[in-house]
Amino acid sequence: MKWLAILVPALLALAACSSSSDCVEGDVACLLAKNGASTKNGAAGADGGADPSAPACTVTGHPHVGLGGIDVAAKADGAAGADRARTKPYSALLTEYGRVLGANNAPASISNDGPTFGVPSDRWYYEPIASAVFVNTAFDVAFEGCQNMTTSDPTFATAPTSDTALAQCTTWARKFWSRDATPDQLTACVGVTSDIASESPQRRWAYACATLLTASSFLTY
Amino acid sequence: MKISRRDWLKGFGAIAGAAIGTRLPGTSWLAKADPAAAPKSAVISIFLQGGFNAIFSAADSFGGGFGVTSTNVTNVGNGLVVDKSTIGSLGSWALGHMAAIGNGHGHTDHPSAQAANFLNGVQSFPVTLAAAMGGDAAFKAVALGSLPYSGPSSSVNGVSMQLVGTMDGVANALGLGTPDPKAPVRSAGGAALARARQMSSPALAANPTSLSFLKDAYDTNVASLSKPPMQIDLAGIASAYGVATSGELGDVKSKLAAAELMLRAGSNVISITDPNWDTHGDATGQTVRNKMSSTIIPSLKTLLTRLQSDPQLKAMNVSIMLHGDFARNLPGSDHAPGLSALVIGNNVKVGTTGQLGAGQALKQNIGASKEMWSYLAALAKTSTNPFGDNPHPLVL
Repeated sequence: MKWLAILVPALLALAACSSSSDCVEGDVACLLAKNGASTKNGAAGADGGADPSAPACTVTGHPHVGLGGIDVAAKADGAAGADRARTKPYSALLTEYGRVLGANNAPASISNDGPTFGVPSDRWYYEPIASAVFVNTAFDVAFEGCQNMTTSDPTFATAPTSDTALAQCTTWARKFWSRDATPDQLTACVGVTSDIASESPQRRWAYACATLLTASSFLTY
Repeated sequence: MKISRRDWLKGFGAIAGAAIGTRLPGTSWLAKADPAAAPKSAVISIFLQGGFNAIFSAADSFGGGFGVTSTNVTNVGNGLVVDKSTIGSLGSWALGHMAAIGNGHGHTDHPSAQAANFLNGVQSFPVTLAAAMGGDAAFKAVALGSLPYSGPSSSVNGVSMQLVGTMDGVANALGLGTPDPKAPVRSAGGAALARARQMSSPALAANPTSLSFLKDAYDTNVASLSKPPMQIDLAGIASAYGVATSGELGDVKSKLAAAELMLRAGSNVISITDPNWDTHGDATGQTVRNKMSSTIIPSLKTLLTRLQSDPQLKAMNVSIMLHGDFARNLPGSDHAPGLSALVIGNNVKVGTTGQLGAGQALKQNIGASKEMWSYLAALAKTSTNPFGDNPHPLVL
């Protein structure tokens, strides 16, 4: 019966836009047929960039009373494409660090950190809460993996310069985030290597690497 | 009286700031040096998810229902009557500093009642109180084990509710124990997380609700890691409660051990939730008595004893509130339309505004959750009560 508590509100929410604007969000063909105009298929992801021409609900204010007599209808329209980012669950993070750093560099400590990141009971789902302890632990885990990488690769035995840090940050961001970093983000990454000038070259590189892996572009979808 | 040079130095140390003293184990010499300095205040909310039977706070309300007799209750005084085998066993200090507080939130469904205990729309009562209480702790408001309410993170003046799932997780964030030479250096970690926050700023701006926790996490960590590591005897605390220093905060004793840790770390408001208190069919009250006796009372006694015996904790002004969704009604222990919370603390005056009447509704109309938290703010002696005037006249 518990699945009903999830399914019914979800179905009600899907119906919220159906009375006069009955294109399911993202159904470009439907929108074209109704509006007779071209529409960009822009996807608003975790880093913003909402597409103003994407279909949006035009019917608001209808209540959708669900279980417990609670109205599950949204009370206000937010900006299109906003608030789509979600924190990666522990089940994903377990393999993410190894995926981006290489299996040999995967941090071992994450296997013991389930209670910190949140592990649901069997057959339940748990929405991760990115608390301060979650993020601090994620940074420590990332640092372990990054240090594994920088101590095993002679490239990182040389202290970073602003040029070499920029090049490496660019490469890492692309690899870790599956997209290019913005100039501001690269500036922040390079800044890490100069913030922490007193440590060994390998650890300075590891701090920069771990910072990229603790940014929202890695920790969230 | 001749004043030694040591006494002069202690006096200047008290003026310099009492916050450092609250982080040191052992005698709080700063409080001794300047008795006029306000003690560090803290509030612990113990929320029994499902319901809080008023036999624990207003046992004279049932006319024989829930198995209440003249011999199984304790008349604490000033109209306050509590169940003898559970609340009545908490010891003389607690019995001399407890009150029942009526909360007429009026909700009889769980989601609304649970939210009503902690939220006024989107405003979080515990976060608002923690912000009003001030101080320099990085973790001013914490939830141990689980959040007391669902929804996005809400922050007030930079203070947010931080979820703590394990003792070792927060111990690591506070810098307890011997540093691991392979781990990030604390200050460097803080600088790096500030840069991670910088990298994340476009996403945080575009996802103000879905990434609200992440934003608050960066802010809390940057603040925490800028402070020196704390000196708290985690192993000693864990041993006192009979729990491990690591692992999930899965039961009340581990949560109360973590609560003591956070008290010493300077937290203002600490939230604990214990599930499975929706005791339908418990017409004799025996289920809740057994549950209270086995899951809450033992470790609560440990905390209360340590609050009175440990010098650092004794110097604090700690208020503990036991509450739940709502009281239980008769005859079937279903959902009553009111709540009679129980508060124990240094500044609590014995008495009650939480007596129940017909249908187990509150006899007195003395407000709802805002007024309940206003009472806690009054106990904590906040310079300004963020919830308005306190209507519960039970403050010493």
